[in-house]
Amino acid sequence: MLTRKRLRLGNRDLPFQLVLFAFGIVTFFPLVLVVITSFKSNTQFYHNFWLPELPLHLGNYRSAFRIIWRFILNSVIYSGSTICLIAAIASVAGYVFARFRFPFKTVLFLGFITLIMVPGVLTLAPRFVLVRDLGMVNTPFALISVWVSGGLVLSTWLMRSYFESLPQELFDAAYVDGAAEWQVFLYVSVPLARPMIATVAMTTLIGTWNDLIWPLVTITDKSQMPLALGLMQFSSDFETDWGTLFAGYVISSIPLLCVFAVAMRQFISGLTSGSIKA
Amino acid sequence: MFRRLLLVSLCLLIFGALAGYAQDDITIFATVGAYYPDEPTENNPNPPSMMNDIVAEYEAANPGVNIELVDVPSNISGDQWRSTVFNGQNEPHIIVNNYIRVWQEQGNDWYVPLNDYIEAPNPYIPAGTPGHERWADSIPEVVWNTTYHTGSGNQYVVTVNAVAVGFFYNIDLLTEMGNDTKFDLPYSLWADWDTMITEMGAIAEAGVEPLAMSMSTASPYTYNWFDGTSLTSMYIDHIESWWEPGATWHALNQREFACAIQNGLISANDDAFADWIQLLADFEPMWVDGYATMTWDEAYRLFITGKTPFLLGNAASQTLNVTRDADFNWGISYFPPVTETTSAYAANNESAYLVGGFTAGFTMTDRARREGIEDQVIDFFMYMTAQPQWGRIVTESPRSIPTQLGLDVPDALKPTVAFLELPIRALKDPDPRLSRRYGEDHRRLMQEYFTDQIDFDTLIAEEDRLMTREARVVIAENDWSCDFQME
Amino acid sequence: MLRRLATSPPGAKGNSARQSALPIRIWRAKWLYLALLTPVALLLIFEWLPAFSALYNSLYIWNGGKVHFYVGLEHYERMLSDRTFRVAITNLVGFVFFRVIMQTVLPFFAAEMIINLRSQRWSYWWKIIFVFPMVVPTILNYLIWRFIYNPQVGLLNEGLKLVGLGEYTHAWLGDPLTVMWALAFVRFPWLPTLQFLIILGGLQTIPQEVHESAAIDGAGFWRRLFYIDIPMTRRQITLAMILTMLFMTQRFDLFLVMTDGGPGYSSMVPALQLYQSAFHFLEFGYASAIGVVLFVAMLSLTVINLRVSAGAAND
Repeated sequence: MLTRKRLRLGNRDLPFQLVLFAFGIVTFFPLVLVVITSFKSNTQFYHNFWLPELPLHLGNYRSAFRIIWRFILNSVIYSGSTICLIAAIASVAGYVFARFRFPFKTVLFLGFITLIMVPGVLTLAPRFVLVRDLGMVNTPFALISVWVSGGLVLSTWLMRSYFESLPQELFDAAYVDGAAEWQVFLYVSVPLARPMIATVAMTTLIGTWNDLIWPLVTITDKSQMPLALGLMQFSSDFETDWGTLFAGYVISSIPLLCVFAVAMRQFISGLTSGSIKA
Repeated sequence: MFRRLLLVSLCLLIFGALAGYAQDDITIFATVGAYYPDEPTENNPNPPSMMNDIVAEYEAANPGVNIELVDVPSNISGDQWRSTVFNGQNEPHIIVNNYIRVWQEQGNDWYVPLNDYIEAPNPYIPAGTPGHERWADSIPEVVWNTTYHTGSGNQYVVTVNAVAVGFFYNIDLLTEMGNDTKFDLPYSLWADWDTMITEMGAIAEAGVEPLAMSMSTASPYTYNWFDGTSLTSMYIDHIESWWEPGATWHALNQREFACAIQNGLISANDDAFADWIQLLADFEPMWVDGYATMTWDEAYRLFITGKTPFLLGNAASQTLNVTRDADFNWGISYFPPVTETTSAYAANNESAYLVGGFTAGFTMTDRARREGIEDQVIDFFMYMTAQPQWGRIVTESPRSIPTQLGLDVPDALKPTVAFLELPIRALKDPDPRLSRRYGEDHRRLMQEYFTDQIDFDTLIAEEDRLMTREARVVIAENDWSCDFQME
Repeated sequence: MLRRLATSPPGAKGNSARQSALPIRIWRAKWLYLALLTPVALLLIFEWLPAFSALYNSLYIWNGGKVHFYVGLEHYERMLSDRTFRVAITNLVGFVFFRVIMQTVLPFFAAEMIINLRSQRWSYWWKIIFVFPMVVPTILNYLIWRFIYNPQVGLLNEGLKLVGLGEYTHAWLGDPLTVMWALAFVRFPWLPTLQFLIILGGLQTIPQEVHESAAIDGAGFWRRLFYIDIPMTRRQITLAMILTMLFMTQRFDLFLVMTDGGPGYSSMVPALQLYQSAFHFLEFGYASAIGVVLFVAMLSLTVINLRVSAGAAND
């Protein structure tokens, strides 16, 4: 209803819809190609990349699933723990930064935010030495600790922005009722911040799910490998099994799609809340 | 409360320590390159799996030793993996390696010299087979001579693979285009370099791109192979004076080449060098459009789908793929020799020179020494590379020709054996010739020249600066003396 | 204690006039510091420590192994005369400039269209549709774009032939004249999720009344765009630009996968040079120095950007 009131310019949806449709087609094109390719044998792939071709090689999915399901499980555990930790830590930190004044607050916050500008490839080698010295190589901690600290940078900032945008009255009401600070945080702020927590979770999930280089250097034990390493199975020195590889990519995105389906609305409303700005 | 907690944790600690003490298993990590056992898929139902059997047998015979095979990406992530794990001292104990790489990383003490080990008997080689009394005897002398590191006097690699490169050609497509080239030499379609250029030129005239190849380091690239082999032909008359004393025909090591630059025996300002640039520039129009950023896989697809009649590839490993994928008649040819019809400097050339040759082998890393388990690591090393085991591995997965004496060339690779009989090229790929930095910058300079970003004079000036600088750096880094080249 | 801090409201609304001495304020905030202990410790250990060790290494020659000795500012001097670095910076400036424009303008227009739809339901679905491609791994996108630009079988060339522009077919990635443009258009017209949603959020928070009164004043689409929507979402747009700038400056995988910086040096960028110095040439010292320079450049650009944006807002 709001939108209808908003623009009294007659039926102007059609041109917009058409443009958006064109946009959407081109944006979705790579996805479609991935799915098409996942049904091909190598010969079909070599001869025709663009169009689907019969027979469909459903066996690609069978092979891919048989090999990568264990890696998917691993990834679910690693990414899941990372998300929980980030959501917890970033909510607290974001809340503290948003709602309190205390000495060195600006310095501390800058210590978070400037890390966005440190190129990851620069710190790869020193970070690896560190993780090895901590005895975490070939353990899930190597991945989770580094993913959590890396993800905290953006997440804390997102949470802080969101908490800052919440109206003061909400908190005042709780204080008047005699709630302790932790109660205000847990029972007032966190429920209100669910959209932004969903946002943090989604961005963390996407970031960790496909990370290749960090697991590559820290996890050599096959039983502990996350998904991105598992997908390497399908290419060797001299050839790549394209169909199975792409089928693997499709399968590996299914858990993402599930999360997406559940958290989509929250994710979008978190980022579009208008709280995030320079 | 606290006391109880303390007690429990103490118990746990003691138990943990005991468990750790009781379990003194050794775990040996190893990379095995193309022989890594992949799991079967619909498209690839029979991937190599022999390595699993070898490992299982060894573990059964040696309780307390675990072997973990490590899969390393062959693509660009491999470089990152490599320097990060070495730098973080988490490298596998055994690594598949090209001797050239080992030379370049030699200053780091990343690898254990194998000099003493290869002098000892290899118990896993049956009596009567070369290598039983002295491990080194299992591999021909010429291989050791090629892989030997001059700077330190050490052998770091047991090289078990030999490969050849070549032009795969599509017979059907060539016939259709009216080209009836026959093998002129036992190994090549063309009598000399000029004939090749002429015939490929005719194909290009007819509107077909002749040669699929790659000049991008985004994947293994093939341009390098012309680079070294044709440069060898241009300096054929002089190369002997670059050798270290007492050497016979061999692939020059870094020191010999760096010193040749330092001593002015080769320079970008030479006329021979100019002829060489010209040779490559005349060849460049035959290369497929976009070669500068093309990957190995893309080039392969062009050939296999009949878009180009020629593919420059790894004749040893790719033969299997072409056999499986090509729906046309095909053959493999080698580079023709560069002769005086191409350049006066190549006048005394008798044949073409072999690219590739003895390439990959195994190295033992410093981790074995740090953990004090060299003996166990070398034991598995010997087991894996001994003829009975290696024979099974290459029979199952014929990706390269085994160098060990007493092993047959897999049938699939027989066509390339004639190439392997050629003399090895004296000047290797740009990277191993001098340094990786030289290799990359040289390749980029050549690309700039081919794509008309720089003119000939700039190319020569830049190349001169680059060669001089890198030679100086390499010599300084290794503390080499270059006196041996001055009579 | 905390209550008091909280009820004297947080953020800027504080009453700085009666601030106590620093140690006392620190003591009062002890629970806050405790709450920040975990994230700060994590960042110190896993982020700042490696970052500082990179800064330290930029003063050394280090091959990632044994060779490690002090050379002072030599790497920074070398950068000044390094032809590759100069070319890389030039390429980067053009690339980032273009991407910043593209990744701000496209999301802005898409967002404008979406919020102007009369159908609420479509408006919601379009958001989902444009956010959805984030599940596709970046590396797959690069792979597909290699196919689009492929000179022999690529979609772009085939398309050109189809519409009778066959003479314009090209080795898009293999020609120094087109390679940077080709790279700049990779994933076009994809909307970067973060930037898109942030701008959309900005547009959504513009109050109804503003648009209504503008409509009553007879302001058309373009007038409204330039006099209301853009000024009122300035802070979101600035942020989207800064984020794009930061992400694109650090991007090296795109260049590595698509061109490896070639042909020649025509698509070399500093992040790729950093990567190659470290992992190909084992010059970790020089690589670190490049990283430090990149960091300083990004930091200053961000600060300048924020200043300019704030200044414009004050006018």
